[in-house]
Amino acid sequence: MIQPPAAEGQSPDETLYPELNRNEERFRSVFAHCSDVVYRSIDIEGKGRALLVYIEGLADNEGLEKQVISPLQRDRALTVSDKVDVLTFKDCLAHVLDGKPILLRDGQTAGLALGLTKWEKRGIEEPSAESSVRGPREGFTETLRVNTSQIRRIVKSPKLKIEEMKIGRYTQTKIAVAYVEGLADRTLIDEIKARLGRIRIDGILESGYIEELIEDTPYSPFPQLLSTERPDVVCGNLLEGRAAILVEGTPFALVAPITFFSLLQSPEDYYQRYIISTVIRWLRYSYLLFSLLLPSLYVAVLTFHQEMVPGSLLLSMASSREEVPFPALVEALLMEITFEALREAGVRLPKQVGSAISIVGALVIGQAAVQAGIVSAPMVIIVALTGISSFMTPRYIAGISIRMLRFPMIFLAGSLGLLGIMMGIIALVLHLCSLRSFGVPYLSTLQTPNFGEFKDVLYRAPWWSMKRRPRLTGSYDEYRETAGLKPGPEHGGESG
Amino acid sequence: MFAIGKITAPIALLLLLSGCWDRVELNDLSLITAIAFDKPQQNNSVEVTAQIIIPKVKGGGDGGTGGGGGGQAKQTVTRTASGSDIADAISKLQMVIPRKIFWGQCKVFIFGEEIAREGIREHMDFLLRHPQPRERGYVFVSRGRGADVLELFPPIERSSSEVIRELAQLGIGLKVTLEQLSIRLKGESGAQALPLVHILPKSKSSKPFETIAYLSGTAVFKDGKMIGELSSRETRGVLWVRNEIDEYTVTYENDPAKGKVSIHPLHAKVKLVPRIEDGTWKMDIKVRTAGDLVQNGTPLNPMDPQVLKKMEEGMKKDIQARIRDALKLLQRDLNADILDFANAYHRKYPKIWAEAKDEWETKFPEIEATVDVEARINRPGMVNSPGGISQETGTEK
Repeated sequence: MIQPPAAEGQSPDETLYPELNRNEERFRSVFAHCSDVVYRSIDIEGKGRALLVYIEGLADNEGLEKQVISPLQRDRALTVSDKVDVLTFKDCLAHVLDGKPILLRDGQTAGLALGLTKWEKRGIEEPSAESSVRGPREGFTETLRVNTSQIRRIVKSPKLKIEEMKIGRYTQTKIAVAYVEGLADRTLIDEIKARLGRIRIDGILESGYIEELIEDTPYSPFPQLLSTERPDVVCGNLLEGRAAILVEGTPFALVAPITFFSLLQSPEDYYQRYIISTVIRWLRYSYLLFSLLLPSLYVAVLTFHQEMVPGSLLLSMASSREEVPFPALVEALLMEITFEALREAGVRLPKQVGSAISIVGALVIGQAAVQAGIVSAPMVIIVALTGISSFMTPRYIAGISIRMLRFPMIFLAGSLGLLGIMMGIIALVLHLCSLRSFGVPYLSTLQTPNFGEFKDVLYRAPWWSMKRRPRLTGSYDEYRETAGLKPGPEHGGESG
Repeated sequence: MFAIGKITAPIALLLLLSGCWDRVELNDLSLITAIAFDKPQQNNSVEVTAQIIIPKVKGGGDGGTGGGGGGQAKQTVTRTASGSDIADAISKLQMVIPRKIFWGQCKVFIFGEEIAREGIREHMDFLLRHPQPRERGYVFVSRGRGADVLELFPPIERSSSEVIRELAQLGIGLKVTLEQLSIRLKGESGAQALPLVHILPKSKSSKPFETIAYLSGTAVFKDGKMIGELSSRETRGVLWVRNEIDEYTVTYENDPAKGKVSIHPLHAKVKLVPRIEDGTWKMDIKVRTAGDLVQNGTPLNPMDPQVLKKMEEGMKKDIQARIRDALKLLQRDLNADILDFANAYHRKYPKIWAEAKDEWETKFPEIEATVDVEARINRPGMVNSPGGISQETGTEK
């Protein structure tokens, strides 16, 4: 499993030498020019020498001092609980790189890997990209162990399996595949592991690398894996029979398989009252269409179908466009690109400058441009509405995909009118129908004429009514709750 | 990436190269709100007048007071051109309008009285054949020249055409859309009706042309030619029979001596039941209506069921009289079946109709029409006894 980078000129499989000096030489040659590797030799009273090899900053210095060095010097037993015998040189290297100090003794061909690692890490914070009003405020961190522990804390069952592997020739990034045995389809897990095992790459810096390397359709603007930094979202999905892929070094976990509607569901949908959630879901759906179509509809109607607008509305549009020198298509593109630029600038700029940019942006887009007669006021309204609506998608990534798709739509609208928009929509729907996420059709909820599946798509059914898990792949444990959970007079509640 | 490029590049090129042939910017359109057809002074056969909206940049907000004018500024302009037919006239009209004529928002079509008497059939052909005029636009006939109606600057609505369109929509008078007119022109009865537009004399304080046109009466057509007109009261009778009555008030002398009663009906339903008995053609006009008492000029107390019954009786008689008056005029004087009795017979007696339809001209005046009205007063209003009359005298019959 563990594959350290091959040291030049030496076979890494060799076992350790009995002579400490030769071992040290060997380490020093492998870690040549690695200034952060520390070799600390310890004299054991009357019993020769020991050597500690570790990486500065990854080892628990205080622990080493107290639990290793001082007992050794007095020739007492080590008080380290986590210690593993390591026989080969290769394993030694892997442990050192992993942060575990290796203890070698003169005359022994087995080293000890000590679990005394400690490095600076970020604490658990509220997820910044997916905040919610109601619901847990914990987010994943960059440390895989912390992340898996967060999942384990929610799903306290031995059925929760977390399988680990390392990917990345140089980064040796730890990847964990989490799933609930019995709920997740075995073939799905095998497929995920197979796809992950296929990856040969220098490094994995973020789960986005993994996402692009294992998704089903690489040529698609739509994300086929859900990325989230919320443990509760991951656990919710695990309990529905999906699998999660966690990556060391990033707070974003991946969930597979998903459908298109997974991207439109917010964790809060399940925490607040189902009636409210249903209404909000529909609001979200309609604004999704807005963010895709509004500017293109405006352009199409204004350049091809003027008779479709109610008379008085057309008149006010006409009077506001009277001084605008550009065609509607150019105006729309101009404004939309400006908005995207502002958004991007707002994300990238340092926080101190951010507010300045938004003020300037609002002034430039909103007022000055209209006053100067370069763009019309309705266009500003359209762009603003589109901008807001695209951020209503709970998944930022999905929102961006849709937002980018509106540019081809604007072009289609500007050249073919409503016909073009219709063609665009047809192409889009065809594409969505052909997409798959680990074999699960992207629109599978709509494709299967199963009313039960709509319970979590068309509306959010109350928990006492969502008895079955969503149907994803093969066989699974069908029911997630017992019958008769609905509150009523027999349970002490009111009827009705 | 190559695969995407292979597909998208040709599509993008196709879109760009095709050149958007029918793309028109809003700034390049002249929005016509109404169009009028008149008989020109010269030999040309038709004169077309278009009312065009002047799109103005609204001064509101931070634009400063430079916008000036405000509500008083003219919002429409009219342009006239004549030609041998409408298409010809329109092409000449385009010569005096800097922007492309756009019919898509034209919701009012006005025929001048003179041209209406000459016949509207050939002009209708253009309006129906051309893809742009709205079939749901309203058609009117104007007393005098249609162009004069469009020249007005109404104090309330944006344009004079908007005024008559709104008036038509209120349902006080007849309202006929282009589509309905075309159906009637092809219909069995061979007669058509269009609302008549008059120009309201301007009030003393108003500027010249600052007034509106209003609807009153009906122009009656036969085979596309205007042959006569109905007064406002007779139009009401026609509306009853055509089941188009909507917003109206029936005022009648309840008991000749005692005063007037006004009813504001809530709904009215009319059924035409044709019968042929022993060769005589009969038509039962069944009216069911109900309304509220809105003014009671009599000293009677409508809370008394007996009195209410009497009032209902009076209402019934009044409606009957209105319908009979209209029928009399249409059957005897004009011989124009604008009530579409023909269609009712056609539906019920298709075989007899096939033989008799050529004689409809002679059959229609002879139809024996019976008017059967069922009138009800639902609510006597907020006060019981008549206003200003004491309880005691009020109860006396």
